[in-house]
This record gives sequence, structure tokens and C-alpha cells, in this order.
Amino acid sequence: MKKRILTIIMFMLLAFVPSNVSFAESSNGTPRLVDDADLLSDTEEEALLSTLDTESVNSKCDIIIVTTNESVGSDAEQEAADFVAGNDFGIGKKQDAVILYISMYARDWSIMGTGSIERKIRNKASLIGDEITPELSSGDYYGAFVEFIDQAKLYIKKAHNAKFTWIPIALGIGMIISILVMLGVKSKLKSVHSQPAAASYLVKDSFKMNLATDRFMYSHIKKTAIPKSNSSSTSSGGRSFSGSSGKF
Amino acid sequence: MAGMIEYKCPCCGGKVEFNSGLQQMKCPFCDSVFDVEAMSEYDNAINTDTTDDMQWDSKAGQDWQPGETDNMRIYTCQSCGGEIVADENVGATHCPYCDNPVVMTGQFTGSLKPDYVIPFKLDRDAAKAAYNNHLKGKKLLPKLFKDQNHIDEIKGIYVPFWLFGAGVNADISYNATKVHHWSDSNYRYTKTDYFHCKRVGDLAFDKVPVDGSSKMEDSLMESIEPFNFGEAVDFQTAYLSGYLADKYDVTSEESITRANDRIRNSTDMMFRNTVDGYATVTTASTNIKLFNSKAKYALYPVWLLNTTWNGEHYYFAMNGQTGKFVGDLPCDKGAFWKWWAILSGVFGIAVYGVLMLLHII
Repeated sequence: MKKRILTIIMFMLLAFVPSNVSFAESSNGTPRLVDDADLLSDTEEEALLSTLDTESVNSKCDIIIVTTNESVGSDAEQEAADFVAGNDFGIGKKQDAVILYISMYARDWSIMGTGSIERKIRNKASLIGDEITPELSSGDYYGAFVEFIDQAKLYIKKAHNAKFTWIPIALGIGMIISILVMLGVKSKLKSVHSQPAAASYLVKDSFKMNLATDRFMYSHIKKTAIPKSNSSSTSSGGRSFSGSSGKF
Repeated sequence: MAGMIEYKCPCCGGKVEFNSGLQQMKCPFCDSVFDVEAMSEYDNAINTDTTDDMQWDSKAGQDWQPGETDNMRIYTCQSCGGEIVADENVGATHCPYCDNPVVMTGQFTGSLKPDYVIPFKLDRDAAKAAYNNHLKGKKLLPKLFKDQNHIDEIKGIYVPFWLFGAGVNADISYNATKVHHWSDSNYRYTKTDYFHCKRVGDLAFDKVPVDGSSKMEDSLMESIEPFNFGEAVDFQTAYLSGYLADKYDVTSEESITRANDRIRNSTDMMFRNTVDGYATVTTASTNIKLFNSKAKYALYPVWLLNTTWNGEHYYFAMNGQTGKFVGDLPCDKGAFWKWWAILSGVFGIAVYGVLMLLHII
């Protein structure tokens, strides 16, 4: 009997386990680390893959690193997006995933995000790129990848928490709208007001304009530089991706 | 050097010089360039005398004829000191301002005879109905105020007004700007064009009323405006029969400031409305002169109601000619904050929903 109850409890607990269970690889068997450019030692690869798997599960977002020797032409970002979409990476309802794509052919890096973290990655990808570029340039690929994982974790967490930080903001806006509405309702109780003008006593047709001149005096032109955005967006497999790219 | 003309830059205030190469005036400090004629006109405008001349011929009212005030009595409030004039048959008992008892202090003497009177057109029942109507639809009015509050006495009173009329000649200058925006691949540009606009013209105001009773709240009387002076008649004491009348205790000279303020504001508004098509308009200088000014003394019909609730006095007034009813009402603070909290939640959820729909969250 005890065994049966335990089985039922286990079954109920399993029923509440989110359907977006994360595995150590994508649905078609591609691992989260693909080092075709052979930039890492076997030990580093093993450690990194383990970290990627663990952090992907913990942060509910696939974190992927791909290196290649092939040319990506002028579109490293599209290659990165195609890799994620083509291998069906992504966790959760919105299929959250972030990828670092390295092409050694022309020393390109690209960081792209998709799902609920897309907006955050679009704004922060160039910052993450700035952080890892010195290590990539100096050949410390393992250090750069670890740094990428740390940075990605940070922004994934912020993106996932964003919905909670918006609650007090929405409530604050609601409170301001509400007080304006209530002050409007309250103003109906007040009907005694001074009359600042005497328009009601203007003699009909008495207003005559004898002179009306509008003379141009001078001009001023203000020039403001448009901030350059390093971020870009693309789509692949019906999914939207945003991020940034650069060289090292 | 004696007689040397100096122009100040409208942009930075620096001394502007004639640039022979450009054949225009140029500011050496901010490099702004001005047309010579525009600079001269601007300089004239800013140096124009901006002192308004708003003098009035404030003689108003007339002397009483012998025997005309024989049946008029003065009643004085022992609490607020207000003096009410009433027909000897009225037998006033309570002050219309503070509702305290009044006593007859003697025969009406002195003061001026009004030039005009607008007779009461609406009766006491109309005032009661207007009061009940005034309480309707006020969501934040305390229910107890509505339920417990009864206006026992409604008083019809002729309120003294000084009526000011004059022609106005105005010369007003404005500084105005037009703003254009554009951009290229690297920069956003904002071009601001500065203009100097001058307006000179005439207009006239007639019978601008200023309440001549210090006991009567000016804002309360201004709130029941306007009165239709077309229905005014020459004053006769017979019109006071059955009503109270207030004796003026603010003279026409003392009322001029208020009349001038209202006339000046209206004139500025009328002229300002002709300066259109600009992003911003600010008044640079104003010169207003009055001509053919005259003042008259009239009595206007007002129904007054007052009540006390939770230790506070509430005053209501109705225009005895047009029926316009005013009076501030108390606010149910509990209901105010309860509805604020409910609406904050509703609007908060709505805002959150909109943010989600816009994919911001």
C-alpha cells in the first residue's frame, strides 16, 4: 500500500515537472558545444560542455558555443541563427537560446539570442563581445568561452526577471493614471472659480487689428550625433534572432 | 561717442555690428546674422514704452431723490458686521452671508443710488431645484451630506456691482519660434527660426462687472457670470420689494484693479490668438491704453444658500437671472482613496497587459 501511495506521489510530482525538460543536447542530437575549429583541448571541451549543459538547464535557456574553420561570408549572425534553428535548440515556450559562433576563417565572432531573451541579448551582445574579444585575440579561447557563459547567464537571468521588475512599474503607472482620473472626478465638486478674463463683455465686432507684422530674425541649427547601434536582427526557421557580431 | 546707436543681439544679448561683406547686422559673439530692417524694428519694439495707461473715469451711481429711501431699513449682522438694506416689510432676520441674526439699526441713509438693476427672473423654488440638481451625479459627494443636509433658508439678494466699460488700444510684441527637424545617416538636425511679431489694434469692453461687496466672495460672484445686461432697467426702489440688498463697501476706485486685470488678460488672449503657426510664442512687450472709459453702478440678482456640515461652512449662489448655480461641495476622502486603489489595480493590470502585447515584457 505504502509503495502504491509513493508511486502516486511520484507520479503527481512528475506531472508538475515542466514540459520543457532540458537535455544535454538538442532534439536532433547536436551537443551545445561544437568545436569544429579545434580550438579546445579534449579536457577543456569536456569541462566546457558539462558547464554549458548545467548552466543551460539551470538558466532555462540553451547556451551554445560553435567554432568553425569555414567562411561565413559577411553574415556570421545568420550562420549562428541557422545553427540554433536548424538544430532545434531552445528551452521553454519561447524556445530561449543564446549562441556564440566563432569562424576562424576570417576571425569573426557572432552572439545571437532568441525567445524571451532576444531583446536583452540584442542590447547586450556587443558588450559581451567587447568582454571576450581580448581573450579571443590572444588565443585564450577557453577563457573567452567561460567568460561568455558567465555573461550570458547574467543577462538571461535579467531577461527572465524582467517580467517581475515590470510589475511595480506597471502598478506605478496605474497609480498615476488612477490619481489623474480621481482628481478629474473630484474636480466636479468644485464649481467656484475666478474669471481671469472678460471675454463675455467684449463688444461685438469691436476687435480691429491695425497692424500685424511677423518678421524673421535669425535661425539656429542644432546637430546631434545619432548613436550607432551594433545590434542587428535576423530570422531563421520561423524564429526571430537578435544580437551582434565582430572580429577578433 | 554721443548719439551712437547700439543694437543688442536678440539671441545672446551681445553688441551687434554691421558687417560690410554680408551687408547685414552680425553678432560677433554668437555669429547670428540679422536683416538691418528687422534689427531696427526689433530694437524699436523692445524700447517701446511698456507702461500701460489704464486710467478710468470711475464716477458711477447717482444721488437719491428726497423721500426715495423712506421705507428702506438697514439691518446689521452682529456677527460678521454685514449691512443689508431691505424694504421695511421684509423684516430680515438672518445674515445672508453667515446666517447669524441681524438687527434693524435704522433708516437707510447715504451711499449712492444705483444706475441700473437687473430684476429677479427666477424664484425661490427654482433656486431649491437648482441646488438639488447641483448635488446630482457627484460620485465623491459624501452620502451623509446629501441625506442630512437641508437648506432651510434661501435668500434673494441684490448684490452691488461696479460695471466698467472702455475702448482699448493695444500694442503687443511677441517672440515666436518655428522648429524643423530632419536627419541624415549620422546626425539629427533641429533648426529653430526666431521671429518677432507685432500686433497693434483696438477693441472694446462693456459692463465688465466687479462685485462691490467685501462680504461677498469675488470668486463666487464671478462664477455665476455672465449676467445679461440687456435686461437691466433704470433703478427704482420698487424692485427691492421682497428682497434684500447689499450696500456697497468697496468703491469703484478700489474695484478698478480687478477690472483692469480682466480686460488686460482678455486683450492679451485676443491678440495672442492672431499669432499662429508657431511652435512657441512668448509676450515680449505689452502697451495697453484705455479710452472713453466709464463706470456704472448696478444691482444684480443673486440667490444665496449656505449650510454647515461637519463644522465647515458651504456657500452656494445662483444667478437670479440665468439660473447658473455654483458652490463647492465636500469630498468623501474614504471613497476617493478606495476608488483610487481599485482603479490603480485595474489600470496597473491593463498597463502590464499592453506591455505584454507590445512584446516589451
